[in-house]
Order: sequence, then structure tokens, then C-alpha cells
Amino acid sequence: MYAVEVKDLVKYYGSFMALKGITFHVDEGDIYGLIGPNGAGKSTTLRILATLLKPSSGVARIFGYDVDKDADRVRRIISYLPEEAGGYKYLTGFEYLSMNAKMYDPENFREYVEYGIEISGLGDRIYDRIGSYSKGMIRRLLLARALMMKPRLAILDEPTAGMDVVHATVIRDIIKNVAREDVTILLSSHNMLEVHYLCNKISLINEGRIVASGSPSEIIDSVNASNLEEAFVRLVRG
Amino acid sequence: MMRGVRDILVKEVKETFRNPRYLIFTILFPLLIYPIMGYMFGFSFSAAQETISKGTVLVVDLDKSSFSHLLTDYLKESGLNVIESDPNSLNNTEYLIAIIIPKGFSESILNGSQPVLKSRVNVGSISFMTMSIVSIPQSILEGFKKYIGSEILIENNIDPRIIYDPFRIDTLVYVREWGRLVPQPQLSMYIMNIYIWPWILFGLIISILQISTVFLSEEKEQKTLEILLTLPIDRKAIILGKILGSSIVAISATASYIVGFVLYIVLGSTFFSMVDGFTEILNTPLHAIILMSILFFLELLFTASLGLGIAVFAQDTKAAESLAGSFAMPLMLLILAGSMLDLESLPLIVKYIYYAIPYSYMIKAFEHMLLNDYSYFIFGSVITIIWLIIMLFIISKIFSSEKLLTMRVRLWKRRRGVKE
Repeated sequence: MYAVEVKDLVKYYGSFMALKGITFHVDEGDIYGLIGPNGAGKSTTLRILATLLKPSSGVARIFGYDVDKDADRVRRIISYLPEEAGGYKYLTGFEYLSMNAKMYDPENFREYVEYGIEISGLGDRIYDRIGSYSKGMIRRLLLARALMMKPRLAILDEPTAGMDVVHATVIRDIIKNVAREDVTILLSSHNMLEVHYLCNKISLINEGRIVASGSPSEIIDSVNASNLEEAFVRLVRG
Repeated sequence: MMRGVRDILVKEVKETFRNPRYLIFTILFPLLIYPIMGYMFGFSFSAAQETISKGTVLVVDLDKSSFSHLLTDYLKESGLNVIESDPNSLNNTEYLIAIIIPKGFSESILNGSQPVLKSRVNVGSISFMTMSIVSIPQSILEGFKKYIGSEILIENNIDPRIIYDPFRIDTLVYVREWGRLVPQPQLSMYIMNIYIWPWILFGLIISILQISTVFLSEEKEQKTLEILLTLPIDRKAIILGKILGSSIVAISATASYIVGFVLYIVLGSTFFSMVDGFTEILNTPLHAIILMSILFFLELLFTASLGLGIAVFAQDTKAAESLAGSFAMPLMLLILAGSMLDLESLPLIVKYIYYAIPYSYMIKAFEHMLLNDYSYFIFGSVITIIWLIIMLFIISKIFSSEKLLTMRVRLWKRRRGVKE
């Protein structure tokens, strides 16, 4: 059984076709990357998998559960980090993690919160209000929220978006470490270097279509490129 | 309780009560404004009396006649701190009141040529208390007019009541809708309260509407909504948590208004106790107050759910507040119609529409409380509950679809689609 199975997935916004029948699958334990420019359809795909949007047609399953028909079950085994996400400014980081952990496991939430605090690396600032955090601190808190429960699938939309190099490196290491604990990760990015470093498999997406899938080295070799960025440009331009 | 409801509720309560904007406008504002109003009514009157009793009243007697002496004694007996002085003393500004008795005062009174008794009141600035300061000496002088008039009449063996109070007036107003007679002074008190209440509640409803709208729109603006919707809890738990959160806001805001109003009555009691009908309002039966409170609470709960429904269309808090604010005008028109129009004379269909609107019942709630008309509150509560259920059904439908993320209105302009 695949961790993620997407087949002929189509999504319309009014008359605009955002996804034009994409197909890919993610194996359990993978760190899988969806790469593409802005507006390619990465976020729409992830939002469908996170049960936020309904597919217009096609199939999207997570560990065998249909994201539309079994949305409640899907939500129990996934966690989702949107590209543009914030926290509740009048709650402390600790309260935020506790609130989220309680919704997954009201009995054992404390151990998850402790793990979340460790992942976030916020130290004592975890007891300060989120409103006082910097953008990087908020992103680390949100990533900790998404990963602290060790979900079966973590869907991370541009996990290092808007972060400086140092913080982005920290976050990439966190993702790698969590993935070792039986967490399948599906992430999107337009940073080819990041994807090359993190993911064992990727799909290149452009204008609502998957243009290539495989490991980063397979894709680079398939078009005789020197890096993933060059491969992407060659594939898109045909 | 459904999983997640408590956590959402706790989150909403923490977020709300830590928000200075909410605390200032919904809790502190009514706690301050009503006691201040009560203080203005009550203490300004007693403060004015105190100011006058402590202040100096200069009497410049240019006549030195029997009536001028009589006036000076009369002012002293009225408890004023009277100092007899010459015209030059008017140049200093230390006095509170100066009364100048003109030359020929007594003679002019007796020959009927109406002398002019000049009085000057010295106030620091114009305030609510100024009215009382000016009116108190005025009424003392009016009393003196009656006094000397009575003295003259008694000297001529005429009963002063024949001239000044030949008969008494007892006006009773029969209110057909109430089916009872009401003394005219009491009616004034009733009307004042009947028409003030809906406007107090209007302010409360608009503020609850805006707060509950912001509850959801802030999730959009803070970019927290998507995470919330992917949590492993039923979407109904999110709605319930938010509605209950709004109801706590409603309860705290109502409690704040009630405490503020009680303080308003207590602090203003020196003033209100002079008004006929006040005692009857204080003696309102407890169960009438409870029924009215239940109706108000249900209306506020409906308002909270309405706010949540409105917020679905708003992309950010600014748009949400704008949408919530657009309800102010129809609500104002409803209050004006309910207060000004004779509902019995309206066409049947208009009457049905009027009574199908939950907010219609708050308009004359005070009046029906005075009339002990409990069926009015029960009927109003039932109508409001029906609307509340309809509203909750609509919201739960929207929450279970993707419309919550894709329906957007920014300052009235509808945008299609969402950003990838």
C-alpha cells in the first residue's frame, strides 16, 4: 500500500483548471518532493491531500483512505503545514503545541509537547506569546506542531519559505531526523537545492502537469543535466 | 463533549480575554460609561448643592428697604452663605452668586412696575453641574417671589392659594395596548427607559457581531484556519467551540453591561429618586428579569452564530468588520420602526415579518417586563431558537465543504477562485 496515491487528479477553480490529471505515488518512509514554479499546482495538490479542497475528478488516497470520502480518517494520520501559516498571537508557543497535541491524543499529549519543544528549539521562549516571535521562530513552532505527533504522513508546503539560510538548514535537519522515525514526508518546494538535499524521490510539476518523476539523480541523468535546476528547465522547455 | 470542542473553546477564550481591544470595548467600556453617566446624574446634583452651600452669595442692596431686607433674610434662611456688600465687590471673581437689588425695589413691587432683580452666577466652566448650580439659586429666587406675593396677599386677608394654586392637576394616561392607566410623571420615566434600552442592546449586538465575525476572519488573516481544518476533530467541534467561545464573550459582555447599568442606577439614585415611577422599575419581579435576560442571551447567541456565518465571506478582519457593520443600518431601522410605529395598525404580512425577526423582541422587552407579559419573552425566545438552529445548520454545511476557504469577499468585491 502506498503512503500517497494520486491518480488522474483534476482540480478546477471555477473555469480555471489548476490540476490537469496528475498521477504519482509516495512509498511509506519516503521524503518525497513536489517541485515546480509558483502557480504550478503544488499547493493545490497538497491542499487536496490535506482534505482542505475536494478533487474535481480523479483519485487521491492516503494509506488507502480516500481524501474526499474518508476525510475524517485521513485527518487522524496526517499533519499539514501550509506555505503561508501563522500562530495565535495571544497564545504562548507552549499553549499552542498543547492545544494541538490534545486534539490528537488527549491522554498522552504531554510527551508530544515535550518532543515539539525539542524540535522547535525555542527553549524558554516557548512560554512567550506567539505575537512576540520572529517569522523564523513561528515557522519552527509550526513545523514542530506538524511533526511532534509523528504522523504517518507529514504534508509540508514550502517548509523553509521565507527563512534565512541558517534557519532553513535547521529545519531541513529536523525534517530528516523526523523522517527516520517512520514518518513519511511529502513536501513542496521551488528550491531545487533543498529538494536535492532532502528528498529521495521527487516529481516535477509545471502548469498543472507532472513533467517527470523519480529520484533526483535519475531525473538529472535523464536529461544529461548537471543539477536539478538545469534538469527542470530542460524538461519544462521540452 | 465532542473531542476538540473544549480545546477550541479554551483557545477562543484565552485569545479573546488577552486581546486588549476586546477588553476595552466590550468589558471595560460598559463598566465605565454607565457608572460615569449615573455619577453625572446623581453626584452632579448633590455636588452642585454642596458647591452652592460652600460658595459665597454676594447681596448688593441698593435699595435698603423692607423687601430688600426680607430678601436678604430669605436667602440666609435658605442655607446660603450670604455676604452683604457694595457694588465694587462685583469686580472680584471670588463669589459664586451675586444678587443686585436695584434702587426702588420695594416701591416698584408695590406699584406693580416689576423691578428687575439681577443675579450673576460665576462658574469656572460649562459642565453638567453648571445646570444645577444655575438652577438652584434661580429656584430660590422664584420661591422668594411667591413668598413676598403671599405676604402681601396675607396682609390683605387673601388666601395665597387662591392666586398661586387655585386647583390641582392629576393627569392619567390610558395606554390602550397596556390596558391600564398610568400617571403622567411615571409615563415619562417608562418612555425614557423603553426607548433607551433597545439602543443599549443595539450597541451590544453590533459589538458581539463584530467579535464573533473576527473569531473566524482572524483565523484567515492569521493564516491559522487551514491548520485548524486539518486537525483530527469533527468540523462541528470547531463550530461548537467557536459558538461557545462567542457565547462566553456574550455572557461576559452582558454581565459587564448589567453591572454597569446597576452602578448607573446606584450612582444616579439621588437624581432618579426624584423621578416618579423609578420605584416601580426597581420593584420589577425577579422572574421577569430572568425571562428578559434569557431572551437577550439567546439573541446574543444568535448574533454570535450570525457573525460566524458572515465571516465565511470575509477574507480578513477588515472585510469581516465591514460586513458586520453593514448590519447596523437594518438593525437601526428595525429599532426605529419598532419604537415609532403603531405595530397594531400595520398590515398583517408586515406584522408577521416583524415578529419573525429575532431582534424585534428586544425592542419592547422593557415595556413587556413592566407589564408582566411573560408570553412575549417565551414566544421571542422560541423564534430566536428556531433562527439559531437554522444558522447553525447553514454554518455546519459551509464548514464541511471547501467554501470556507474559497468563498471570499474583500470590501464587497467578489473574487473568483483562490491563489494556488
